[in-house]
Amino acid sequence: MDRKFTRREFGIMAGVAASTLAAPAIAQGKPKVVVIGGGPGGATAARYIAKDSKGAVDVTLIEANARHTTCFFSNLYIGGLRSFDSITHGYDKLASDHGINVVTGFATSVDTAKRIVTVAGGQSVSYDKLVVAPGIDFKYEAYEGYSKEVAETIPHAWQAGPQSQILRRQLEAMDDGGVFLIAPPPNPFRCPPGPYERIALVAQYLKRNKPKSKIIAVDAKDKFSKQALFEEGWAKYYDGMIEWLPLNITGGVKAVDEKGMTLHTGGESFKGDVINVIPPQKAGAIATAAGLANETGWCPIDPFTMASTRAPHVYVLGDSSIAAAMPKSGFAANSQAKACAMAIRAELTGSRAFEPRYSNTCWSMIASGDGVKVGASYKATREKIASTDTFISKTGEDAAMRTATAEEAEGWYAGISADIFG
Amino acid sequence: MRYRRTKTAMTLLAGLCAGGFLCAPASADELYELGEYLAGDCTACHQLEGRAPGIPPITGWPVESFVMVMTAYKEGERDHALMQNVASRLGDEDMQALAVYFGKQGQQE
Repeated sequence: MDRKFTRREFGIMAGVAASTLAAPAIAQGKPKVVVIGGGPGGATAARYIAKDSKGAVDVTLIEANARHTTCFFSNLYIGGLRSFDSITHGYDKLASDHGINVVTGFATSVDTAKRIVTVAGGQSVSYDKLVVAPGIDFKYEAYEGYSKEVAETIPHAWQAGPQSQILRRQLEAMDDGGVFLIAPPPNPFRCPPGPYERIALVAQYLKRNKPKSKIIAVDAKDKFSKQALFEEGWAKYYDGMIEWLPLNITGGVKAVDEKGMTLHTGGESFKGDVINVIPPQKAGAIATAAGLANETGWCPIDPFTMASTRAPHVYVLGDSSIAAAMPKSGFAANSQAKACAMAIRAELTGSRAFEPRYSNTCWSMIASGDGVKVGASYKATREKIASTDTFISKTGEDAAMRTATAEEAEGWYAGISADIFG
Repeated sequence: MRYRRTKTAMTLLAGLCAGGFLCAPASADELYELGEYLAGDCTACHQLEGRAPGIPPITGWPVESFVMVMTAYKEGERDHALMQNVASRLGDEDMQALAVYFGKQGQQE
């Protein structure tokens, strides 16, 4: 609402307005929305479309797992600060409170011409509008010797759930004096501060339980999110325990040796007692299978509605989308889902659509009771979702401020979980 | 300043904003619906029901108090970087819409 309009843009917008404000697309029967993926993007979209349309839209959520373990706060589980149950949520309230039809199954294909989604086992579901929010998939092939199978021994733990449990068990089993080896991925990837929060919380666990242990990070980048804050915190709490190696020192991971528990780089090789390889990433498999991804491996979208630019009546949310300035985070997916839900309701029921607003905040824990955050506001422009205003915690903040931020993070977890899962 | 320019633009557009979306809510219904959409930005942290540590409740406030507090964040008189950022993206009507929406939440029907 606060942008300048040119005469040319006004003409274009008037054209868009005519279509946006057109009569509901579905003349008879309840319009059907299908959502693929029950994470922060998909579950929020399903819940908001059902809740705000007050029964006028039939919503089906297709999700492979009966319960969802959130990636955000999974580092707290891995670091021993949270139980697995406390970060795992069911879909029962989406069904009982909002009448959403929850299908537990893996969506295997989408026919965007016939508007049908096929679920493993053969069930097919038709839609008027489809929301695709499958999160990320991994480019295992980027590292020689790494695969989905090897990830059972050398976990990525970058999709929370059983993978997080493997990593936690391995850390618990590791001897004092062992080496935890972690390989953060190249950009772009899910949760930019995540690997560095993981380093901090694993360091805290090791310092308390196995203080002779070491952490080596073989990064695929030369810099990372909240770097000054993490490096300050690592030195303050875990001095001498963490060695972070940027890309320009090692050349990055080239190969994973499962039997030898070793990561090979362009030069040096690194042996670990517990190894966490977070591979390069791309859009979730169904997004690619449906033809929604471009040559980058991610899905281009209309910044105003999250509609796919590659298929009609399809929207892409969260990590799979190219949301430009917005990071791949659960908070961002939740924010995008609300703008998308509003746009879809407007198309299907003629409800009002306002200018979308997007926001993100990422909290990270550096130690128990020491939290930091980074966040921003965003707006849709014709070219992209652009950042308008940002903030970040400062180095050298006092303990009271950091404690308040850590408490706020806990409160946010409770709030956003309720907002996503009901 | 930005607000005044917005007003001019909105007059020109006869109630349409960027991308053809409705803006400049005229009726109470529209204001409430704008509040309902914008509230999603708040409910990513603040719960409509129940409380959480570290995040204060924002439902059931008098409209004037809500607007006063958000204005204070926007003008930097209240000190919280995240809330200042939230307030920075809200125009006067947005704040009013949110105040009306959250004012009606948590009340006994």
